Formats: sequence, C-alpha cells, structure tokens
Amino acid sequence: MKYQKVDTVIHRLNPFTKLLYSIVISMLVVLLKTPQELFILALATFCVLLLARPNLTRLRLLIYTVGIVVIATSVSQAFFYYFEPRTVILTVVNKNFPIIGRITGGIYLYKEGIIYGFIQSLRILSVMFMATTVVISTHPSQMIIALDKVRIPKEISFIIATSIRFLPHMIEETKRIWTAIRLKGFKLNNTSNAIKAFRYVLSPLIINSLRQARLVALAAEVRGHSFHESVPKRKNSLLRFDTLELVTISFFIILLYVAILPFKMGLSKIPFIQALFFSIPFTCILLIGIRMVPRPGSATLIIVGHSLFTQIISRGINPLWWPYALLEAVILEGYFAITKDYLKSRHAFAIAGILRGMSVYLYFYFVASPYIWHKFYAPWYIVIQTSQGVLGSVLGALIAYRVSKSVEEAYKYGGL
Amino acid sequence: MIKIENFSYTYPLSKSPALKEINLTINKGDLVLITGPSGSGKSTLIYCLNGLIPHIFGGSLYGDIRVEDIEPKTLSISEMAKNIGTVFQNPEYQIFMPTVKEDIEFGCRNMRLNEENIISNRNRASFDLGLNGLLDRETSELSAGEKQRLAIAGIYAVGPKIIIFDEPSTNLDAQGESSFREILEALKGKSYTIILIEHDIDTFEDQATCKYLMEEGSLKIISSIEHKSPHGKFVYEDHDEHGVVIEAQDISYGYNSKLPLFKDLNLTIRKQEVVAFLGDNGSGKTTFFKLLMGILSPQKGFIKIGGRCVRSINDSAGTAGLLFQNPDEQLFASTVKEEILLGPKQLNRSCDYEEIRARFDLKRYENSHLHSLSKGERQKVAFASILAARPEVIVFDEPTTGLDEKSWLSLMDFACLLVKDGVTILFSTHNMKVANRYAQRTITFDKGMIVQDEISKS
Repeated sequence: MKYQKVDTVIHRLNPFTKLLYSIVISMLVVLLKTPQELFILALATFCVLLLARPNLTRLRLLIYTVGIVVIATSVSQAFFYYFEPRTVILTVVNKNFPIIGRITGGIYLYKEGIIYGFIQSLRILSVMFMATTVVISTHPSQMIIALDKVRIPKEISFIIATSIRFLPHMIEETKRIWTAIRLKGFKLNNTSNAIKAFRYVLSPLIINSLRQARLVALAAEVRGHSFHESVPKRKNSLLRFDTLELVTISFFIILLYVAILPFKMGLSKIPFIQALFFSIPFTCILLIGIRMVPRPGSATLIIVGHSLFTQIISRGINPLWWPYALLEAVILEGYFAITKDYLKSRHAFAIAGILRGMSVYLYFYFVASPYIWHKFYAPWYIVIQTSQGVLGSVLGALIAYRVSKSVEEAYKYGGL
Repeated sequence: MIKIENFSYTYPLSKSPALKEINLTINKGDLVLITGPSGSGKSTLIYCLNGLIPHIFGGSLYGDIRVEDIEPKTLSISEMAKNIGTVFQNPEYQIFMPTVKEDIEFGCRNMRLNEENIISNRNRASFDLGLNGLLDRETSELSAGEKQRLAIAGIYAVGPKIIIFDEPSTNLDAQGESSFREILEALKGKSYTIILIEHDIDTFEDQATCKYLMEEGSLKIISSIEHKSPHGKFVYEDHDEHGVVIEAQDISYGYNSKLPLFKDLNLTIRKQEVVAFLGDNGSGKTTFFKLLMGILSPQKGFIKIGGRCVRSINDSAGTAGLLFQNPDEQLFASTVKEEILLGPKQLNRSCDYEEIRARFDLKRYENSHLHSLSKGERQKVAFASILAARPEVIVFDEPTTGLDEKSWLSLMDFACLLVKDGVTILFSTHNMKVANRYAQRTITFDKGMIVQDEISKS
C-alpha cells in the first residue's frame, strides 16, 4: 500500500481525525460480537474506503487479499473449531492414527468451523479496509504530524520521519547488493542458497548503513539539527540519544523493513513454516541494531519505531499491533537491564533471540488470537509454530552475532 | 574571513596528527580550491571549520582557527552554521524533508528563526537557486542535479556568508557541472566566500582565486603550472584482430512502456576492445550495462556475450564482471581471501588465489578487515574478486567516482593491462581524462541513441 495523490473527501480530512478513525475501528473490531454487527462494520469500512477512491490496481489487489483472508481464516477455523456441537465433514488424520493422531487428537474439518471462520474474517477485513483507507489518503508526513499531536516522544517521530525519507534510497541500494551477490554466481533457487546469500548480503548492507547514518547525522548537525539542542534535555536517560544514534536506529528500522521483503515475496509462500523464515531476518537485523547502539532504550526505539513506520507506510495505523511491539521491547529491555549485557557474547544473542521469539508467538496465540481476532488454534499447532518462531529467532540471533563481530572488527581496525 | 594559524589536529585514539601546522587566510569573496588525495586531511579541515571538530569528533586541537572572528569550538554547531555552511558530497544524505519547500526551511526552523524570516529566506534561496517552480515537489522525485541545487539552497537559506562544497563534481555530468559553475559564479558575484574541496584540480581551476594542495595533513599553495599533469594515452600491446564478443541486436527497452529509452539499438564490440561509454546522466549508459549483465531484460531484441544469449544475471555471472561505483556494495566477506574465493566457489571454477594475491599485491591487506581499507584499496579488492572468476568482459560503472587521481590511475592501468590476456573492457565515465587515456573506442549515448561511435587515435 502507498499514499495515493488524489483529491477526495477522505484525503481532505484532518490526519488526526483519521488517526481517531483507526483507533475507533480497532476497538470495535475487538468489542463487536454478532455476525450482523461485524458485517455492518466491514461494509461501513469498505464504503469509507470507496470514498477515498482507491485505484483499480489497488482495488484488484485488495479483492485478491480479501479472498485469501476469508479462505485462510475459514479453513484454519474449520480445523481448530472446538465448540460443541460440531459436525465432521472431512477426516484428515484419525485420532487413532499412530503418533500424529495421538499427538493431535485427530485432525478433522468441521462444518461449523467454516462458518465461524468466515464470520471472524470480517474482523480482519474491517481492519484491512480501515488501514487501506488511511494509508492511501494520508501522506506519511501528515501522519507523523498527527502522531506528534498525541505527544509521542520526539525521538520516535524523528526516527520515523528519517526512515521514511531514506527508505527509497535504501531499497535501491539493497537491490544493487542483491544484484552484486547474484553476479558472484549465487542462485536463489532454493531455501538453503537464499539463507546463505542473506548472510553474505548482511555485511555490506549493515556496513553501508552505518557509513550512511554517519554522513546523514553530520549533515543534520551542520543544518542545525542537533537533537540535544532541539529537544530540552530529558531527565530520563532512556531517551537521551544523540543525532547519530537516532539516525543509526532509523537505518536499522529501514533494514528491518527491507530485509523481510524477499522473505515475504518468496518464502512466505511455503505454508506452515512461515514463522521460521520470518523470524530469521527480523531477529537478525533487530539484534545487530541493538548491538550497534548498545544502550537502554535502543531496543524500544527500533521495535516500536519499526512497528509505527510499517503502519504509516503500508499496513495502516492500527493500535491492535501496538501491544506486540511494546511487549517485545519491554522483554528485551528487561533482559538487557538485568544482565547489564548489550549482546556482548554469543549466548547473550541466543537468549535475546529465544526471548524475542517466545514473547511474540506466545502473545499471538494466547492473547491476540483468542481475545482480539477471536480465532482458535489447537495446542499441537501452537507448539509447532512457537517452536519455529523461537528456532528462527535463535538462528537469526546467531547470524547477527557473526555479522556484528565482523562489523566491530572493521571498527576496531579504523574502518567505517 | 577565515584565519588559521599554526593549526594542528589529532583524532581521538590516533597517534599522528591529521592536520599539521596549517596556515591559511581566506578573505571575503575568495573562491579557494583545496585539492589532494583521499585521506590527506581535506575533510578534517572542513570539520574543524564548521565545528564538527571538536563538538562531534572530539580530539586535540592546537593553534588558532577563526571563522568570521569566531573560534568554532566556542559556538554550537548550529550557531556556527549561521556563519559557515557545508554542502557535502552526496546531496541525497542532506535532504531531510518530504517537499522542496519544507527542506529549504529545515535549517531555518532548526535555528528557530521567526516565521517571517523563514519565508523570506526560503523565497530568496529558491529564487537564487532556480527552485521556484519546484517548491511543492516531493524531494524523492527530484533529479540528481535538482537535488544538488536543493542541498545548496538549504544551506544558503540560513544565510551564511561562507559556503564549503565537499567534492561537488562527484555525481555531476557535463550539464550538471556547467550548472554548478553558474551557481559558483552567482555566489562569487554576491561576495560569498567559497571553499571548494575537490580530488581533481582541473574541474574548477579557472574559477578559483587561490589553490591549495593538501598532502598528509599539510597544506601548501600551488600554482596551476606546477600541478598540471596531463596523462598520455595508455599503450596497449599489439594483438591480432579478434571476433565479436558482445552483440546487441535490435534492442528495445524502456522503464516506461510509452517512452522507450532504447529503440532497435544495435552494437557490436570486439574481443580485447577498451570502450568508453559517454553521455549525460539518463542517456542510457547504465541501462545498457544492466541489459548486458542480465539485470534488466530487453523488451525486444537480444544481447549475446561470447555467443551466449543473456536473459538473466545467471547467464552473465562469471562471463562478465561488473565493478560498481561503490565497492562496498559488492564486498561480502571480511577477509581478502574469502572475498576473492567467493565467486569462483559459487561458479564452480578453479581460482589460483596466490596468483591473484601477487598480481594485485594484496598480501599486505590479508590481515585487515576489508572495510577498514581505504576506498581505493576496497575498489581494488572488489576488482580482484571479479577477476578471480576469469570473466571475458569487465564493465566499470563510473570507475573514477569518489577516487582520487592516483587511485583511479592505478585501477584503470591495471585493468587495461589485462587486455593482452584477452579481456574486453567497457567503462562509463563523465571524466574525459579517463576516456582520453584508456579508450580505444568511444561510444556516446544521448537519450538512448548512439550519437557518436569512433575509434580513438593512438
């Protein structure tokens, strides 16, 4: 999704009003219960979206995504439906089947589950329509102004604005680096090659980002933007970042966005093991970022900044995503505060990876799914997905450890 | 006015000074050109003038440095910016706001000028820098030349009477350079004091009132006669006529389907030719290289390298090697050896590392991290790693960008020596010194058309 420059009544609305609209819809998505209420909500958000006049390509893509969401939710809930009465319409694995049957208690497709899933998918559709409306009708810089009005810390609005500004440049650079690795003869035709190439690509990506962050920070300073001068000094040391640290964090936010793009495009098509492949690049870049700005608050700024950044430019402001980011940030900050160790050793990286993976996936399956999206999953499925998420996060953390060491070596010998 | 007397500076954790006993006086309205190789201390001198040293970098300063009678260390960087503005090499990194208007105002707002002053300063800067018609445009949509004018406007709007330009010609084509010369003349006409930092003294020599050479932290005044060092034509060994190695036939390609850049382009290049591709930014040089390397696919026609049709990167990998403008985008390992062996390993080709190491004199870098080397050295390693896969064709995209003369001479001399081993070399450049020295043939593009294709005189 991207901002669409047209003149509509929605475009003319104050961005703060659109921010309020996002919050209200998100609350209704959680609170409404009956199919009728959910249907009206989805219909209403869709009508508002039409008022923002999405172009044909976007509308086509949206219809395609709606189809996928409805089918995926209906099918998943058809398998995991556990309310009674329920009618089996297909047996995939019988409960008496050796090992798998015993572990899963049998895998059946329930008629009532399909209907339940279809109704619950209306919640996701409402959020999608709301998010699309806000993203296509609000220029990112307007949304930052609206967020400023709700008094988010200046540091966060600065890193989001900087990330938005340098995103196109970084995407181009990432493309060149991927081209360069392919010119070396790397073929990205299988998962193992893709992971190997990812590891190699990380080093130039990180080192170039650090070099550029320094140039950008110097340019900001000579244009009078010294962060400490523009923001009155805070007593709270958590928010006492200088311009270079904030610009570096912004570049890591962009890297987080860019690094998972190829995984989103290719590897996420592989069903069932998405959690593994998403966790590797995300955890890896996140932990390298924290290692490069090793101080209280940097994990929070990267995680919360990335969450808001992706919401502003593509996913749409959605308060339902905020607890994820905050929980992940609080857990990592807590770990660093207790150990007073900002990823100095391999085991510190690995533990941070485990904590990150567990907090995100357990929150999703035990809080977000049942209480926000009203979706249910079987215990065996939760165990498999969470294990994948944790494993992916640990793998990402170990790659991060290796790359960080290499980057620090470059620093040590006077490079960068 | 700038007055520097017996000034020395040492970076923190460094034992030797980066600037040694500098003496320099720059009067109002002067246009001073400071040249010198990479790492000689030019940027350090800029940082000392605008206050980044010591406020950001720290370190030890000795002697006296005054800008408009102010010691930079006594004012904050933003206060200093009102007296001395700095336009860095790459405008991309100094544009912060989403629209042209907001970006020109960015510095004024940081300095907390009142709204009336902000608007009048913005209007003055946009008028003087020719950005009046672009005020509402998004900064991401600007061309390279427009971005440079915007970077200057952002500094100019704040109102400093001294402006430093750090290697302004690096990303400019002939048109951009001529436009920049006009800006310099206009600033001179308004009695601005200008300090130009350039690798290449020839570019703005005629406009400078005074020229200095920085070498190993020392600054000395130079006369144009003393510095001029024209390079002769590179001498290639005679070789027999060879067959065609690159064949582009009826190529059509456009980023916008309604406006094709290439239309039925035909071009053949013979083995062991050294061909310079000339033309302004956007004329099609880089796009042609991308098509050649399989990074882009032609919408019509075909390109063959060594008789093999190139449809994707997989077809060109190993057969043709591309050296990027920025070597850091193609260095993946942390050691020289790992980097050199990476390509051949992926392509299942043998590689005599010892031979490559000896040929490129890489032994002394073996224990260093690749990214701790200078840009010229990193460029050399990137080149060695391409050569390790033994490609038939080597393509250089603007090989002189960001390199001082000594570094690009060393790189290109070395590359052209490979011609006797059967290698074909293509390079794009805005630098006529490189084209005149090395090209056996020059091809000039203009809006996707070959407007000139000639064999250079030996």
